[in-house]
Amino acid sequence: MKLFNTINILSASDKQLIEISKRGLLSLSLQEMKVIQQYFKSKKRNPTDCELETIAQTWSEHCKHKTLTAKVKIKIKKGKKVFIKKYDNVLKETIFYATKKINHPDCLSVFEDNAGIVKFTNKYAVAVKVETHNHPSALEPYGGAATGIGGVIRDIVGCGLGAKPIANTDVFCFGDLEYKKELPQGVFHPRRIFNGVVSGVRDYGNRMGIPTVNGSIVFDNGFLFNPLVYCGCVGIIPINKINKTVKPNQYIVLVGGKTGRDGIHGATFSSAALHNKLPTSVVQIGDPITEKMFLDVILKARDLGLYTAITDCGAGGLSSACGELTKDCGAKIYLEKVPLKYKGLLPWEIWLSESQERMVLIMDKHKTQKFLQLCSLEDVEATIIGETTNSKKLEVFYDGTKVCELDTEFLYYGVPKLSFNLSYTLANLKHKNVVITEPLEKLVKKVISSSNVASKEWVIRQYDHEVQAGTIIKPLCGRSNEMYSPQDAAVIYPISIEDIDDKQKAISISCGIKPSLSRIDVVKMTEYVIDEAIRNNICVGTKLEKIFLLDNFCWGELNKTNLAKLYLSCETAKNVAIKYGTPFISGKDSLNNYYLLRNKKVSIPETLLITAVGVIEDINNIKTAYFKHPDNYVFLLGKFSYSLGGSTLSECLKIKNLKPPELNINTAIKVYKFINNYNHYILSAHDVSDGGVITTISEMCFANNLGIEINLNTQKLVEFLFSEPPSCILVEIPQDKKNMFEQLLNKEKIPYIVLGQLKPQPLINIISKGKNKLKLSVEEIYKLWTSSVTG
Amino acid sequence: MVNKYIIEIIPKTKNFTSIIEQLKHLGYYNIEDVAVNKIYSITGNISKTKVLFITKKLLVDPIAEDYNVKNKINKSKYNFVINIWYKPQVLDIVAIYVEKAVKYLGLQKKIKVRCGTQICIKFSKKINIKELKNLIEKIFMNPLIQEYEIV
Amino acid sequence: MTPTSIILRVGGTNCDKETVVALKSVGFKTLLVHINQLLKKEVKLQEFDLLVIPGGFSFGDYISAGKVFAVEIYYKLRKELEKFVLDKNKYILGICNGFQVLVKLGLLPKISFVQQVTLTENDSGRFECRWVYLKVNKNNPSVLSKLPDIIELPIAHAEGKFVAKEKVLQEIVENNCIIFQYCDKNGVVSSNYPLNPNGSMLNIAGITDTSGRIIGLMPHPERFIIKNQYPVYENVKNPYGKQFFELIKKKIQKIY
Repeated sequence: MKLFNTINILSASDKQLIEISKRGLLSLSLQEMKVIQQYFKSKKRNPTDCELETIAQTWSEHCKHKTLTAKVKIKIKKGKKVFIKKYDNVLKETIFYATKKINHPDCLSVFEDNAGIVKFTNKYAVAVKVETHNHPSALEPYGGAATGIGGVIRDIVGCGLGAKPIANTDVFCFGDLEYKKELPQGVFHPRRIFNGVVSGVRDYGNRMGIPTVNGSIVFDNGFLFNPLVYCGCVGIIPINKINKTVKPNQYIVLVGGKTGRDGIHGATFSSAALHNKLPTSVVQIGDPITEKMFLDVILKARDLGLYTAITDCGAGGLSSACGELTKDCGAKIYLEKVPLKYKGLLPWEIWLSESQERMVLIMDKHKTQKFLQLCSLEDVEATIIGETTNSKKLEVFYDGTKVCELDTEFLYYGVPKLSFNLSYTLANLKHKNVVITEPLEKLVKKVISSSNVASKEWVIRQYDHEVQAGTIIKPLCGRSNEMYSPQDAAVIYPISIEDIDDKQKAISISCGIKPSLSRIDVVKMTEYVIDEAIRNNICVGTKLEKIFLLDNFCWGELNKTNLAKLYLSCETAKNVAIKYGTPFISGKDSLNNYYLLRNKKVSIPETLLITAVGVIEDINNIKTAYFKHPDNYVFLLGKFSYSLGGSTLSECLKIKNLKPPELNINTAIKVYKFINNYNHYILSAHDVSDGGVITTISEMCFANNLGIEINLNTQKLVEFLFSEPPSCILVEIPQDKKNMFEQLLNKEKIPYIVLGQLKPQPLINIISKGKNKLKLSVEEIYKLWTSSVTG
Repeated sequence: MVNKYIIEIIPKTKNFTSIIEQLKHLGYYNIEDVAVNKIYSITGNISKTKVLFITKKLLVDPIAEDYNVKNKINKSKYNFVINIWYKPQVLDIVAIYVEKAVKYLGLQKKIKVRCGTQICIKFSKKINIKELKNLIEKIFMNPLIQEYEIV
Repeated sequence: MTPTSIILRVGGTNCDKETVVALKSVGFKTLLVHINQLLKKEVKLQEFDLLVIPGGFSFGDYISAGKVFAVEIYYKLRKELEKFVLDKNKYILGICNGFQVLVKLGLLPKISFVQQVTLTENDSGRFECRWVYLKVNKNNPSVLSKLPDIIELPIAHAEGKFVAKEKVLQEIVENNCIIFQYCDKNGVVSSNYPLNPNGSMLNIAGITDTSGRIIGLMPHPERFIIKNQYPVYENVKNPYGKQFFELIKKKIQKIY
């Protein structure tokens, strides 16, 4: 077998360089090809296919975030004003900068490792990562989604010296389930994608024994051709096991599944357009049991101190994993030692394969035997495949023949910078008055049964959200076979970790997503989703100063407008995070989510997912989102904005171009801090989000089958019930504390509205200006809410 | 001598109306009856007796399932029977576990196992091959990673 | 005496850690062991009072839930297990996947090493994760009959439907082998979904053998040992999972 091919780039013209990249599916730009050409000129030789592939994977968007770290000049027009913003490296000067400025003492490892790590107790830390697996899920919903969750779990197992996964989150974006029009060849119906993705994530997550406790599903025809699958994982790691060390003369060990041709070009594929002629290898099928088995062994080996570094084999396969770990010293890899699924793989295929369920570990030579024995005891495959050196080179061999040699300095730091000159006009919608004549009851029924508001119980019950016995606030709370109320955030109490040093603490997990706002204003969308993720955490009782964020950008085609929006979104995220004092600890991006429909590029709406993870001091102070007792009072805290822009109602009624509600961050901070400080008065809390106030109220009534009499004094009843303003939270206050609570609100100048009193009969009775406006049966609303979304 | 056997695992009492409902949701109204069975293929230098042993001890649930070690399929009830397998280069997890478990049974012979799904459909109206292929590829399998044979 | 428990795991078991925590919380001395350790004779089954097979997806539930694990145990561990099972002072508990293993191994409803009943795919065709009400059979021979009349525990499974031939079902009823049945909040046994989440015949959620020493159930007692684990936990309830393990402990200590 011919072990490698030499690719002639030294004498290639510009046109030929582009052709080489295209033919090899390398996704390398001309600028990059020229830099590579220069490097090999200095080495006085042509590259092997293995070398070119390695560079292509390492320099891919997925691995290097070239677009987000670009040098950018952007001219922003707002009305008559013009601002110019210049960045040398957008990511560094926005997202990273926010974290640096906030300088939160609990941030232990941010944007360095496979996951963000923050302090939990004195002994333990929490690791969080959220990934996307969009393109593969469009092609093979079940397999693609399953490997998405498998991958993010491996990120947690591969962060620090290995964290134990304790929770999963999943956020999905699909087209409308009832889509009736014809779909192009190769595009699956949203219902099929929905079923496949839900099943794929379910089967993998359940088998790994990790509870799926939080998430969201967005239905919007912008995702018809490009579904989005965000998979997140939260883990726990001892603080003294956060640092990896790699020295020369250690062994490199490959653990887990065998290697095949799966997923070759996964990293480069993820940034290319979808079309219908892709090879089978772009989709991998995963085996969660192999992953669970090596998870058990790795955690044991970690506690025995048998290895000094670990990472997962993800995009780019061994080339990325080995390379990343040894980039500051150097390595020699012997590919013939890699256990294969079947014969006949060429060296570059072994090196680049993205076969699932593999981890790479670095360990001292004298400890390796013990490690291998531990693996063999539990039927986990582990093989020495190389050793670290001090050569500062990545050298790869097959049976003695060198197939790749690259300077680590060039490979990791040599990627040329992208540069953009852009301009963008900020949206400037004027407030428009809307007249809606449909009867209120009909509007409520429409909104409560719309797919973005309706219960996702059909999905939630397919995920084991109780395994590890630590899910204290579950996605749905209620008594068996009665009505369930959805919760804002999940709360995990790590009861199965026996030596935890603080038995009061818990972890809260929530998210924020609203792509429909991007069609109106990407700045408002960014502000909204960060606020949504934070306020969901506030509702369960997490303190503002203990909330940490993750950003995941999913963008469409990278034309000049969309690029400008991306950078604007980063700038907005920076400003909002700094004001709230909530640092970003990790992030990822998935760009070029578009479909080529008859030569036109159809992009997804800009979708930013913010995941918020919080550390709760005392498990006994958490709050759930359902009303507790009749006669208690319900307050709406926060500055309410009477604007239907971006609301579910406006989408149901197809009313476009409405100005969305404003977010006043300073007021929001005051409100959240107030809720934190007076938590002991609050019996339940739930935020206003999709579906507006009427949805929040209904959801809070379900679990205890209570009703409410709401007394208002407004002309804009429709706007009040259906607007979706940020930073508004409904709280339940005991009857005998109502006056005191009002006094406190007035003293601290917190904007609020007293909605009304809870009643034992399950009726939602809305009275405005003394007139009966609406009477709803809670049970009837519940029926509509639970029966809308099924597979 | 290398033999190939196909084993069909048929659930005794199972309701497939939910699948017929799902198909209606997706616009297919002419399906009268559908059944989904598990299928295994075992290839190797192995006798039918041994294959029956593996089937009874490992593959079939004696209370809830019936089995059929293939010669002829009872086609009378259905119009079409389609066997769907993963393509050879795709990971077939269940097959790997069957190969593992067969060793526990004490059988040392090297066998190649594949695991698949069998769809049996009865249509209320006559349907041509093109429409059938369309239905199979849009709903029941993914041509990117699977292949099928109409039996 | 401190009762000892061996918790057996294999590739795919995943409720083991919290099962260990639950057992320890009532005073058991525990050892979590991979089946290979038993096969290599590093650990001896006979040295323990209680064998627990916890929940999870042993071998991925591929082929069918618990089948491959049962096959491995049958062909590699049978002698040792038989000795253990026939000892009148030993107890076996199978939770969820463990129940599936015991059933496919032929240890429930009676020790025959031939499969007599099965746990198969839920009627809904989906994985079900929810809390259920369980009616406790006061005439069951095991110590669990001392639990309150109605308890609540969470279930999480895809293959929990109890199926058996008519004759076998009759025997199970006559011998009072049923310990738990799905019911409503008033204790009325029910076959309605989702009160009965999987369609089990006779709404069976758990059974024992005639001696009461071998117990199998689909619900997860290890997931309800503190009040906060209950979904509407403001309504303070006795963690039924903790009571469950406590009773077993006291039975081993011969307090009951």
